[in-house]
Amino acid sequence: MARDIRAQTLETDFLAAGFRRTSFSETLLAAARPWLRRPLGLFGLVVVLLAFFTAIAAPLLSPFDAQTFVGASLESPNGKHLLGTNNLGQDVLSRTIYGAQVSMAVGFWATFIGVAGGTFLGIVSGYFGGWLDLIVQRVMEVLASFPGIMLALIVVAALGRPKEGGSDILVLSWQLRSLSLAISLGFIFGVMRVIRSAVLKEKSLPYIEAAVTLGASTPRIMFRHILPNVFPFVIVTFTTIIGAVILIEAGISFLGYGVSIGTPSWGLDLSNRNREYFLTAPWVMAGPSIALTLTVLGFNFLGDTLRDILDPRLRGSR
Amino acid sequence: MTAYVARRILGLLLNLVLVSMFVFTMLRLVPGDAATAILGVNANPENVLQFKREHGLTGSLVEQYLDWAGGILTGDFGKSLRGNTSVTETFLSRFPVTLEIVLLSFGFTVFFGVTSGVFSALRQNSIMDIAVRFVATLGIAVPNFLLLTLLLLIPARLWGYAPPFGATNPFDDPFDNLRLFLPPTLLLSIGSSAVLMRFTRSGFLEVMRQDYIRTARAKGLAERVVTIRHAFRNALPPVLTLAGLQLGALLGGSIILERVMGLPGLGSWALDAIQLKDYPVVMIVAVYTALNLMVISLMIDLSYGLIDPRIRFG
Repeated sequence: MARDIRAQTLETDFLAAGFRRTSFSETLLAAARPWLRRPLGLFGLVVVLLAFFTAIAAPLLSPFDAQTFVGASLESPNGKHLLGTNNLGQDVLSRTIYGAQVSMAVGFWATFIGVAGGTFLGIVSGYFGGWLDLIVQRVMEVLASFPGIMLALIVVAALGRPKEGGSDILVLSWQLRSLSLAISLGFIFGVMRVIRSAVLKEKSLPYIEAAVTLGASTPRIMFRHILPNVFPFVIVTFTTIIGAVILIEAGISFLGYGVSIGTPSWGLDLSNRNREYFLTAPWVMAGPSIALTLTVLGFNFLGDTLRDILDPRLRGSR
Repeated sequence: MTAYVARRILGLLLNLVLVSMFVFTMLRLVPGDAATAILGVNANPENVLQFKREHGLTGSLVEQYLDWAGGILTGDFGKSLRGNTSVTETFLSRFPVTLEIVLLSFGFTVFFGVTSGVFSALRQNSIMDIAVRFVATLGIAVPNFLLLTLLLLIPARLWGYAPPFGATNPFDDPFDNLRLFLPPTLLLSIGSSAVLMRFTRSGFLEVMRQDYIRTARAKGLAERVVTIRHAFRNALPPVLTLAGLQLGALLGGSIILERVMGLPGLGSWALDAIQLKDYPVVMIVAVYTALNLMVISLMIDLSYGLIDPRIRFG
């Protein structure tokens, strides 16, 4: 009750001082304005949303099933098969649409694991410092001593294949999980370094001292006080690395170590074993290669724009 | 300085031990038995035991690791589980291919990345700047395996051209060798060059806004001297660090390049070995790669002192 009154008087004071209450549409416009001034960022946002939508709504969007043989082998693009068919007579457009699922799932989850892990380690090691910091840095450096794709290949091999007799969907989800985990390991170190240096700056600010004085617990300081203040960095690292993550997944599938043969996947559909067909039927490559490049391009534009908006120190430098 | 270098080298060795332990453990987690993978499911149990004893596959994980590490100290990296050939020998025969790929593509990366970045920054917002940035943005997004596949397909389709098959020795026939290596390494470097270009450009723009640049200009120095002596030198250290990081990306890209072009380098060797659980092979490639990256990053850190005498090591 007393609280309500206090809030009310506060509000009257603000209004009297010339502040206005902003309407929802005004807030929305204020949030949209930086985007409207950055057409490339808007383009990126649209592409990314479309890619996620395609992945989720693939069964509704694609004209055929991606894994059934619906036409003759290597039909050139025609009215029935807009992007033609591959050597097995599968519809290339449908495979491209379904291919978004693997790329987006692994792209999202690998980035999520990498960023969440890196953020957690960055906060803990930056806040505590000392020997804990030293150990975390050392261990993470081990993971950073490999090219990302080599690390991922070794970890995917270590995680192995599911037991015999699983259904296709179980095998696929196992593969998506191990790919996500394997790829994420290569990114944890980079994320941790960014977050750690941001935490080191925050740690010395007066509000942390205030929180300590008020008796806030250490986890509370780390995750309720510091985390929100370094969160822009978390979002920026997320959108900056997801493009690279999608490319690594495609690279691993291209080499034949990702999802099983037959699964619609952009990397796999461009893979070496199909090379002989590309020579006579180049349309087989068109769908997956354009989809893959466009998606990564969209994520990169989105990442650049978000960094531009959220990190004022870098504003105008790119 | 000496103390700093000693400490770094010590850290590097410790890291190398951790790397080898990590990869060793990872490879042992691979489900299935290396012996059955090589000899087949129906192999005679006696043969399997013999095979295991020969390749140090008996005993606990720790014992096996110590066995392997002990071998290294005497220069013995073990024998490949397939074919029984010495890993060190095969490594040495495959090493030049990967070295050439990485050297060429790293050279291209540094050259194109830095020059186009500086050029772009000096002509900020000109048509050329926008064009260079457009190409760079696209270069980061196009997968390297797609570019390399197209490199094989397009000439084959248009002119029926195929690059010379297999790796040739650069000293026997330099022309043939470069005809094989130059185009793919140039393409491989596109992504890394693009990353380096964007970074160089933003770093250079940052430096050009500094007061000492205004001072240099106010003193009446030629613009060429301002950019090269004052701006470039100050913008260089972070660019070098990023260039070192690109080396990792290029080593990874070398795996894909070797696979696409069918070159017998370390990458394609390790790729097959991972599949077949041929752990001595994976170990030597992984340890070599890690050592390579760490030494380069140490050298880059040390070069800071040469570029900027104010930097002290402590």
